[in-house]
Amino acid sequence: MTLFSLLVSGRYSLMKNISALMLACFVLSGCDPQAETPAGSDSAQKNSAGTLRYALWSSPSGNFHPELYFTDYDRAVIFVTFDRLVMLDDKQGFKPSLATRYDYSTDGKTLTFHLHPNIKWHDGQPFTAEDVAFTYQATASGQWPADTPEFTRELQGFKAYHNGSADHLSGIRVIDAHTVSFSFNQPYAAALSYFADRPVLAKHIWEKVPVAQWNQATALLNNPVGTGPFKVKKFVPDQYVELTRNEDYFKGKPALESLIFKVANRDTAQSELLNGELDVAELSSFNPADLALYKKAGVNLVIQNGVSGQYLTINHRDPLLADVRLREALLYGIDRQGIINNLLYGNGQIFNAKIHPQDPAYPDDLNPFPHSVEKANALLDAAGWRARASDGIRIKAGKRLAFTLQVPTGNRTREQSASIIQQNLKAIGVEITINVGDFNSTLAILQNPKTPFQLLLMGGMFRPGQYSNNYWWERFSDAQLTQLGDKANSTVDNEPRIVLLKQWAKRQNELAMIGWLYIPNVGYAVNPQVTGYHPYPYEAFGNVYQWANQPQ
Amino acid sequence: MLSTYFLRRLLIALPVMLGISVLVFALINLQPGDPYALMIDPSAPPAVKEALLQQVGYYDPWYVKYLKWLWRMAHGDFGYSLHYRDQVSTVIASRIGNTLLLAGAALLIALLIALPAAVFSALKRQSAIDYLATGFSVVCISVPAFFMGLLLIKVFAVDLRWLPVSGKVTLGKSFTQTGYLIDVARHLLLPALVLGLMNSAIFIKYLRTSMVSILEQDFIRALRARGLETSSIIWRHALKNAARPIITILSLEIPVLFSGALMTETVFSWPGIGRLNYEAVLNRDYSLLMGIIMLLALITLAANLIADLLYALIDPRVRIGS
Repeated sequence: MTLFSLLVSGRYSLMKNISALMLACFVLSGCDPQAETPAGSDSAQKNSAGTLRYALWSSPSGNFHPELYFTDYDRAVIFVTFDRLVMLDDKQGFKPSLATRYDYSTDGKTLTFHLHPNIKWHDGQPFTAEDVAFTYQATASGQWPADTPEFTRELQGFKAYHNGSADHLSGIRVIDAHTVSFSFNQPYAAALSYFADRPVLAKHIWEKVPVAQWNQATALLNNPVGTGPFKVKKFVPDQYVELTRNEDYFKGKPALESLIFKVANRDTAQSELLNGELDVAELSSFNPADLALYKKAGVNLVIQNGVSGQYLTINHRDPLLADVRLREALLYGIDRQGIINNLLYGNGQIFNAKIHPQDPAYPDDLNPFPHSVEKANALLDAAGWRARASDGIRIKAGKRLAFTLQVPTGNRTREQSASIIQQNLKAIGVEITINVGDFNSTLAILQNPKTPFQLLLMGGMFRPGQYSNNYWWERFSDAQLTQLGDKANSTVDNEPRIVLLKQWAKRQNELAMIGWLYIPNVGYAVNPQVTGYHPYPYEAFGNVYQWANQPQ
Repeated sequence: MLSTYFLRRLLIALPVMLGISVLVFALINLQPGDPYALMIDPSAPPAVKEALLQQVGYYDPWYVKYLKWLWRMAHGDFGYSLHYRDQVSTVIASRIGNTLLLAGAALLIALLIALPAAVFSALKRQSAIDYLATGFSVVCISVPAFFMGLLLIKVFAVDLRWLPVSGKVTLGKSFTQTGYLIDVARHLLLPALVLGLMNSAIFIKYLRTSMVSILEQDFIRALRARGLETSSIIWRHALKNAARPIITILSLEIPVLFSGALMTETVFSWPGIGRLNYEAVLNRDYSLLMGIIMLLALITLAANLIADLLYALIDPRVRIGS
């Protein structure tokens, strides 16, 4: 008997007992819902005072570890339960958070933090420099159960500690209970960016578990002890994370009694906001009809510049794309403003370098590559692709000017932008074949230098103060670019650093290195009862302790 | 006699299970990309990633991985969920109750709708009721679950505000024991209605056809001739015989309800196996995915095995015939 026939041969009365069990189960826990549903139950939807429900699109995994988390949903929980040494201000600069101030040594190699003296962990233990040293030393351990961060590899004494020949990481020094310093092999400007992204752990909690087993310490991971404004009260996977306020929070007692991250669905979140089951949800679309519905219901909309960019990765090792004229032609050929207008209803911005446009280091004199069919045509003609086939596609030596565009799923706007790009480029005689794959498979193409590709759509988040100077995804190298980037990354003085970064960005722009596309805006729909809600780019929860939700 | 039949069935089921395990393993391991893609800084140097993959045994030959997996499964260890940082069996166990609850409620709703609808439309063929029931079931079969879900949400949660949109409990409120049960029931109603309506459509189709053919049989005429009341004939005698295909359909629906509530559970954020399965795919949680699929295969096989056995108990011809 084949597998198939067995699977489909459920011909007979089967498992009466199972269905009985199901019914029993149902009766036990719910009875007949039709009979129990209170009629017109408006009152059931009213919030209790000072509770805010915030939508997450997917369940946190429960890995609430500031150094080991890897989903944005865990990150949300971590960023309200823990604090960082520094955080970002609304100008993409750094401001001290757990620290009162920080300073660099004259050679730029040592960064010293002076910590707030009166901070307590959620369990009442004092927060000290030992906690800071412990947190970042752990990432250098040979047993570290994740990839070693670049920050850690730059610390003095990393190798010796990593391979076990030193029992202490010499690059981190506890000077006194509230002073701690980090020394790097060379000035390392991205350090602040790392600290702004990776909160500090409680030493007295985590020192009991060997570093190698941190990922398995589920009980500790699910019940984080932080210094932050909220404490995890209950984590129910796939449903919600309930947090209560930390009465002793060092920046002030949070106004909300509790904060609940609710796992919601993008397609129904709007209904939940209108219905009063959610208080804050990120907007999934900027469709004017959706926004009008919110406005009509009195829901507040907060819309700000986004921090994640979408771009067209170009394989420079491809014989055709190695020619800068072809890359430039593609950039001129794509109508980026058209993508923003059509797919984001105008809610996005164009960018032209691997730097966020509102970053102080973003140059204002880059070639903006405006959409221009004439310029694109001229460049392709000059590159020898003059002849055209009957369908308008350019031909050289009997070969069509055709590329394959890999498109990862998971971002609706990005998926839709692929066909706009295809049409745009057809107008300049370039044929694009779209190849859609799931996100991981597409990412795997980039990550394996041996997998061939031509064009690929990707997205990524900018990190202020962090300017990645590697080009293995694009598979190319440029001595001048690498030199400028390295120099900028090892310059901790702000002004000379910005000058270098601007030169670095201009060089990328000259090389038409990547097809930078657009940065979608980020918007939130907010229950009008919520006050004090001020997210800004990179800090969605920056002032969470000031949020309130009281019926007026 | 029955025990040899059972043994034979069991002996067939074992290699089938093994076959399924090979298929599941192959399908998952042939996926491009790797499960750690999301766990590593995507721009980390390839060497850093290689080292991590080496460490977790990603480069073991496929047969080593397969045998390891099989050996552990035979010992009840379905592996470790990379995403939830917990045993796969624990993760599944924590969701299965919700799926049972939803499936049970959906079945109940489906039967409550299908029984009267099918019986009346079989009795009054070509009548308005018959056309209404047929039309209803065609609509319910053709409308996709997510659309029906959104429609019900629009009407009952947004416009009328009678029921909550999604989730299992109202957050930020404390409940008494009864209050909690009522709250869960209120959250359960809409997803159960979606699944129930869809299943009722199938039940109506089968039950009506079978009712029509039973009503034409001689024993019904004989009952009539003996002067039994019409209602007794229909509800006690005809329905009992006509319901047999429904039990068959039920048996087919059980594995489907376990796995197939995926869309409904996702739309309503109902924390069951369907949603877990969906999230496992998104998160590339291979062990969890394989665990869920193997569990579903096991349930399907067990359902078939029990069905065959029950049938053999009821109808001796099956034993002899096979």
